[in-house]
Amino acid sequence: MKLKEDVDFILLFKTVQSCGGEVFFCSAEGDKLNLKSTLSQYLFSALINRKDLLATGRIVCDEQGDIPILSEFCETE
Amino acid sequence: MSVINSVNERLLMYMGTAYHGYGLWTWYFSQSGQLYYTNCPYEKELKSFFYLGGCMDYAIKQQNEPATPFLMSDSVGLVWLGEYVREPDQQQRFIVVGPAFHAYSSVHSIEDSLRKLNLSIPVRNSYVKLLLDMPVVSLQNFQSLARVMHHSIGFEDTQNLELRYQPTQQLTKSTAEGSLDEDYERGNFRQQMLLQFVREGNRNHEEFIKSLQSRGSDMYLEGNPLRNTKNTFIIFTSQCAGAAIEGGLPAKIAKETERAYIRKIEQNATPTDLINITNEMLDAFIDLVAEYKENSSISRPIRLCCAYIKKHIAEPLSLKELAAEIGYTEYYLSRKFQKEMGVKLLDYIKQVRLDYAKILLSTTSLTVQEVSERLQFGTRNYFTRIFKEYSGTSPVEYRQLVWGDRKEVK
Repeated sequence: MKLKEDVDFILLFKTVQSCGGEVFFCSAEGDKLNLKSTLSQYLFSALINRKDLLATGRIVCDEQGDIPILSEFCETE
Repeated sequence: MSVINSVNERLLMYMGTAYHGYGLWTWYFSQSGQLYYTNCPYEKELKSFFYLGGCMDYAIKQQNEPATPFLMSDSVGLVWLGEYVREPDQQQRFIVVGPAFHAYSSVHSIEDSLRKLNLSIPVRNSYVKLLLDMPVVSLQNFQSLARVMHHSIGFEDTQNLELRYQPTQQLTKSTAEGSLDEDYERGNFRQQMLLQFVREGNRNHEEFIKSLQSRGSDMYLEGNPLRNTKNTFIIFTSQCAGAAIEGGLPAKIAKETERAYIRKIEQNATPTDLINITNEMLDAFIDLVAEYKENSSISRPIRLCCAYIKKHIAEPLSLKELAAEIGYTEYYLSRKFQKEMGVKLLDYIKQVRLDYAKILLSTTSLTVQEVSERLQFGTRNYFTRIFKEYSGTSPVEYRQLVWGDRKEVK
């Protein structure tokens, strides 16, 4: 799933915590940030204004059931 | 002279001081954590950091606490300072300044850690570039800023102001994907715990250290090239110095101790040596803080004098040098020292040297002559005589008592 523009990152992190499985931000460069990990959340926060990186990256859920939970932050593909 | 009566005007001036004096940005939040205003150019990124570090939750909880500034820090090592503004007929709000690192070495430590995560250059650079733009403000300066903040808000005397500190356990914890993330968080927790021992001058840290060493993998201590390990230990030494200052140790003594151990770390070659030196450094800081806390009835200049003596015990020490160091005349220092410590200054130096001599005799194979020279006693005969007067046995007899049959007595 592609991330929407101008997402509220704090709300996103809170929502990710309620997901049953792991949620990753996978960049086009090959990075795989686990959005449930504090360190990855810091790294991801530093990308808030890197619209190029965010636009080319994808949100990937380990569990299909988590996709609807995150739908408000992602564009439908 | 006109007095600025409005809290907002005073805080506006405070904001200017924080920014122009220290490079710190100011943030205004509602009591529920809604951001009203900031002059920070990294508003979104750092607001997210503030939340991730658990600082936002901690700040919100402070609304029911007495009006005191509170210092917050996150797992990256960034420090923030906040206080509530309470005015009649208005909703509470809180002001925050920050973030900043309290030591120049912090970013390099993070860079070292990131190297192991195999991140792409754009992702790593975005993070490091952001952190490199953070100002460096010592904890002492944060304490000064806290006093000015408190005065700006309430126009109150700040002489006996005590800051509140965000406890480590309130930092946000979440499940990490890989072992490196877990190590990062766990390592940070251990580090914070050790710094707390230093801050408190708590000598019960050895059990805690033992439990650390038995846990195995630690990204800060294992598998690194020597340079990385040295860097990590140097950073930790600086953090211990900061914690010791927070615990009440005069900055001058803390900084001297810090420099001495950083020199030792740079001079030693093996990782094992480095671990031993770091343990020794931790003991030294904890002992110094504990002594300061125990001797709180003794005036600060005399405590400073005692710490200076212990720090320079292997060097020639004179009343003249000590008086110059403390800023008193020789006569006044001598009188004041005896009055407060109940012992003459030169006798105190002798006692401290003899205590150190006992340590050297029982833990090293230095000859009595070498111990005597190392602690400035001059001749072996003089050292033996003084030692016997002090401990009832000669140095050789003392060593025999301690060593038993273990080693040949020199």
